[in-house]
Amino acid sequence: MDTELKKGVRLQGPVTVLVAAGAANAVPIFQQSAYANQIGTKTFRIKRIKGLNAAGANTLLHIGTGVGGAFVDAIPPLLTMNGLNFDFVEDDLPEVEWSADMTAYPVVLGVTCQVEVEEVS
Amino acid sequence: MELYPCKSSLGGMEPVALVNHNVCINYISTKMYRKVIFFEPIPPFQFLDIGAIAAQTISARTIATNLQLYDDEFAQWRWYPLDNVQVRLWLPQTNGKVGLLNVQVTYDTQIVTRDPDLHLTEFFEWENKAPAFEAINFMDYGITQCRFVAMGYRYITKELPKITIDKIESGSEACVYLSASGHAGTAG
Repeated sequence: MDTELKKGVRLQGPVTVLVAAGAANAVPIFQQSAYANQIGTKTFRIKRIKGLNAAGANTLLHIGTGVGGAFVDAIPPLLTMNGLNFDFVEDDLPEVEWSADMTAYPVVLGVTCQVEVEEVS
Repeated sequence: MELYPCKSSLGGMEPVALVNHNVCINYISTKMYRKVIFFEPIPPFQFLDIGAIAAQTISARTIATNLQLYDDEFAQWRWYPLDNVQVRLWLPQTNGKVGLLNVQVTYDTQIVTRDPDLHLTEFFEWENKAPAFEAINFMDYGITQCRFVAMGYRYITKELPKITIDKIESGSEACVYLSASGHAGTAG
């Protein structure tokens, strides 16, 4: 059977345009599955984040939980370079497990991103 | 076909009995001789989430009601914890499983690498006499969920006639003996 403890299913979030800067404007980039009729509690881990910095300046991208000023970083902020795509993959990202919606914000507005996660349950 | 509890086989889980097989389920001090009339596999599913546990705290002993069965049924379960805790298993709620003289052994997440078939986690449950789980968060930080996954087989049985039980007890008819409860042991 070869059970693997935290092997989940690989899913992706939507392409999200981060239209406002600052922690108070963090928005969800992957939402936790929390349907009342599902069996069990689902969590997920970030495996990849791909995006484009069109901010006109290099900027930090913060990824964590919480919106509306309740944002908390879950991993260190990622530096993205102006006018370039960024692509942080599994080896670049710590194995943090989310048990709430994943949210993000850039320090300078104008970043678009999409995440791939592994959902565990 | 040789079937017996905790069988490791070639990398999988096998039912402990098939239709028309005799079983004797030992529940605390009661022996129940039964014949299997139906069985089906239960795929891995998350049967319990104890929830948040503060750092270096033991959770309340929580009955796994999602594992409960109808009357005349027993189940064969293998399981593992999905989150980083050590777990004491009770079957039923007041009978500790895997108790040695000086320690009640715990299960933890490493079971899936040390025993990938989980055959050392196998236990049997009679009707609604469900197990209870007590999770030890040994870490320096709290956890937000404490989940468990189980898989196995569900069996529907009927009582055996006395003549068959006599044959089983005299050794002339086959039967698989199963324990569906913990055993406190006797210090000597």
